[in-house]
Parts: sequence; structure tokens; C-alpha cells
Amino acid sequence: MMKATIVTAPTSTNGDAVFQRICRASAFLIGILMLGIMLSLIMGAWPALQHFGFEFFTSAQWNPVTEEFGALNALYGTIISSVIAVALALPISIGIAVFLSELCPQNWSRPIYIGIELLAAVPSIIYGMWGLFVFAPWFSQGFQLWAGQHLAGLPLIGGMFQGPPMGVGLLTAGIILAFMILPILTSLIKEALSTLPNVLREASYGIGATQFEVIVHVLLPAIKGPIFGALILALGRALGETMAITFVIGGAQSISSSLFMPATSIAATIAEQFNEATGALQISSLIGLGLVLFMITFIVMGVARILLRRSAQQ
Amino acid sequence: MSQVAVLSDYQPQYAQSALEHSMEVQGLNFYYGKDKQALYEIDLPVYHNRVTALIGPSGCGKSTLLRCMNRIYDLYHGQYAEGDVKLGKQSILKGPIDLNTLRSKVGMVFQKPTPFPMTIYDNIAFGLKLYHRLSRRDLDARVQEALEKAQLWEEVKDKLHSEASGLSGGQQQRLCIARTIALKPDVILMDEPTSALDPIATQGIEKLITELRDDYTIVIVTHNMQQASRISDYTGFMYLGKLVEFGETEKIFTHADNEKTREYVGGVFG
Repeated sequence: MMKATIVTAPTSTNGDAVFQRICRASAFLIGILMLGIMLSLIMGAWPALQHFGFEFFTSAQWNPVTEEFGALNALYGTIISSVIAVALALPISIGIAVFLSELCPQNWSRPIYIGIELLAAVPSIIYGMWGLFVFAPWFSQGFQLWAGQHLAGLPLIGGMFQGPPMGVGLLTAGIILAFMILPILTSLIKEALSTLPNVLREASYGIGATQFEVIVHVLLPAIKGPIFGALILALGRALGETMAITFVIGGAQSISSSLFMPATSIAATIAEQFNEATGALQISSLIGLGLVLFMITFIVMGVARILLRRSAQQ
Repeated sequence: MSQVAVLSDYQPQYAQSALEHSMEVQGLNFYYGKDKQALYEIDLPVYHNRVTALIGPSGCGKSTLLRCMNRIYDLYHGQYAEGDVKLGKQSILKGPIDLNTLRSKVGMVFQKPTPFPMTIYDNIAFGLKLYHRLSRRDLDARVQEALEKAQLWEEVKDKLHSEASGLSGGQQQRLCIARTIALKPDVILMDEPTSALDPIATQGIEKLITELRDDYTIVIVTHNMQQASRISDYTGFMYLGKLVEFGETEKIFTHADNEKTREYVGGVFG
């Protein structure tokens, strides 16, 4: 015969209290860490900010010899390479997500998806090495040569494709970044597609729409919000990426209208110069760059979270 | 019982022999996968410009039967049908057939309102643009006509270009009906179209269905027996994947031949 046994709660709750405190302390640690990082960045950057004032953000000078430092070059390279990455990766990831969730047979979907997730697991330094030693030479001999001959002469956009085919540069950095944010974009968009009710698909096919019409006119517009959120989140990732970019962006403190020219990003500048920084002002300026990057990614990530949460509620 | 009161003044208007078939289901078996048979040897006539109701307990296969009639099940891997379904004289299960054309002729309205993520106007125009090259003026006229038929025009004529998701549930469902009738289909399939709506919206949809009967052939799946008795001319009772009995609605609800039908209609099980 089965008999229900009543498990009585232990009378002493000391263990629980200790456990609770340990967990709470762990949670607080995150906040303290965050605040600590921010404070040390501000304190470290303070001498530079005081010395250059607001010009630190608007000056394109970065000269360790004359001790003139401004964040504009790095800021420009960071933002443009990230925008290129997002612009390239978005259509591709929408394509992959649509294929996985709407078009391909179910038993193919998983292996392909796992492959994409593995892409996310590749360490960024590997992307950097591959970008510099394999992709850049191939890119300079292929696309850059061709673009120099055919696109550079065009009005308006021609300027973006001028310059020697060096392989490394802003565009190469953007492309490598695009590879790196592809997995997160794809999985977020695929996720959003899978939350759409099947009856929406049935209703669309039910009025006789073709696959293309259903996907382009109904399903994708229905996940506009999540796609935008995913885009911002991916942008946040791209902005902060360091190692891969340091390899392929070229490391030049300059702003050029050509995407083929070497440039630099905030993370790349810090990685390249921190070890060899001589003056206190240079170190402080580098920390200032870090502060700028911290703020940008913080804001971008925050916006992404808000957007994603809002669309999830709908 | 309320359905008896409603039925007492119900007069079948036409003799069955004079009726034309819009669709006909013949010996249909349906499978949700190997060894998962959901329908067994269904024979069902669908008469022209009549409302045919399918009733039965949950899981009896009435929605499944409906999904065979526009082959929407084709979207899902592993589901298949045997036997035949005819639209007019043409088989829609056998031989090559353009599914998009079929679905423009056999429209479907679902349980939950499914407005597309676009404006009210575009919800209607989207389907029309798939099939017709219409001038802006003709398109406007067709959209208005469909909305008027669906009894929605007066409520939305001033906000045609706002998002359809802002409409109430009942309005959204009427929009979906308008979207379907805009294509001028031969047959409209309705899968429990009022189950997600409040009583007043339900009443509106039922009134609409009886008015649409003049121009369209309607097959409606419902779990609500009063609804079936109020709006349909013919009723099929389904149980465990089989069509137990089919006949004029009055007969099914007052003196059905089959004992199971009488029990279900009488509320013995459900």
C-alpha cells in the first residue's frame, strides 16, 4: 500500500540564511564590478579629459610625439566598420533564418543551425589571423583590384573604392566583423520567426500567396521589431570587438573617404598602443578611448534590450 | 432547450435534389503521418450557395476535414490524404493542380483572427494584387466592396490606412472574412470563426454568414451546436474521424437517424 509521507521542513533555517546571503553577495558583486570599472575608467581618463577638454572627442590628432590626442579617428573607424558589418550581415542572416525556419526540410535545419552556432564559438583572434593571412590577400587581388578599375570612377560612391589594394582596411574589418555577428543575428531572427503563430502562415497561404509573397509581405514585416532589436544588439557586439579588428583594420590614425584605406578603431588603438605608451597623457588618453567605447556599447546594448523586450511583450 | 425553439420555425427552402455540388468529398482518408490516421472514408457533399456545418466533439476530425478542402495541410511535412475531393468537376487531390489558384477559389477563415501586419486597406488589397492587375480606382472599389459585404466598411472607412492590429477582435475577424471574399472564391471554409470572440461579435459574424449565403458556398466547423442550428442548411456530425451522419440541419437536430448523433445533439456527451 502506498502511503504519502510528509516531509517536514527543517526547524533550523540558519543554513538557508547563509545560502541566501552568499547568493545575494554574488549578485551585488556584478553591480560593484560594473561601477568599479566605470569609476576607474573615469579616473584614469580624467587627466586627458582635463587637458584636452571636449576637443578630445572631436580632434583627429593622435600624435604621441607632440602629445596631442583626440578620439575622432578611432571613433570613426569603430562606427563605420560596425555599420558596414551590420549592413552586410543583416541581409545574409535574414536569408539564413528564413531558409532554416521556413524553407529547408526539418532534418536539415538542425545541422545547419549547429554549424552557425559553432561559428560563434570561433575565438576572435582566429578570425583576425584568418582575416589577415587568408582573406585580406585574396580580397586585395580579387575584389579590390576589380573595384579599383570599375567602381572607383563612379560619381558619388567612387570615392569609397579608391586607393591601393592593400587587403587590410576599413572594409576588410567590416567584412570580418560581419562574419562574427552573423550567428547572433541569425539565431535571433530565426527565434523571432519561430514565435510567429502557424495560423498566420496558413492564412497567408490560404489566400493563395506564394512562398515568396508570404515571407516577404507577411512574415518578415511581422517581426520588424525583433529584427531591429537584433540589429542593435549585433551592432553592440561589433562595436566592442578588438582582436580581429586589430589584425585587419590597418592601424592607421587617419580618416579617409575610401573604405580601402587603413584606419583604426577604439579597441584596436588601445590594443596596439597600451604596451608602448610612454607619457602619462597618452595612457590617460587611451583610457579615455576606453571610456568612450564603454559608453557607446552600454547605450547601444541598453537600447537593444529595451527594443527586444518591448517586441517580446507584444 | 433553446435550439428547439429556434428550429421550430425553420423551413428548408429547397429540395435537395435540385442542388448543385460546389465541392464533393469522396472516400477521403487523412493521415497526420504514417499510422496516424485522422479521417476514415469521408463522403460529404457541399451544396452550392448553402451553409454546411460540421459538428462533433473535439478531436473528431472536423477541422482536419476542412483543411483537406483547400489542401492547407500541404504546408506540413508528413501529412497526406487519400481518396478524392472535388471542386466542381475538378479533383484537387489527384493530378497536377495549382495550389495558389485553388486557395483563391476556396478561401479560409480561421479560429483566431489573423490580420496581416499591414494596414486595413492593404490586408484586403494584398490578396487582390496577387491575382489581378487593377488600377488604383478599381482596387479601391474592390476593397470597399469587400469591406461592405463583410459589414465592416462603416466602421473602418475613415481609418483604412491605419494598422489592422488596432481593430477589435470581432472587427479583425470580419476583416479576415472581407479579405477572403475580396477574391470572390467559390467556397469559404470557416474553422470555428467565432470561438475567440465575445457574444456580440459572434452575433455579428453569424448574421454576416447568413447574408453571405446568397453569393457563397460556406462550410463552417463549429463546436457550438446552437450556432450550427441557427446558421446552417446542412449539418454533418463527425465522431472519431468518421462522418456519422449528414443531412438537412433540421433533421439532424430534431430526428437524426443515428443514435450517436441524437446523443451528441441532445447533449449526452460532448
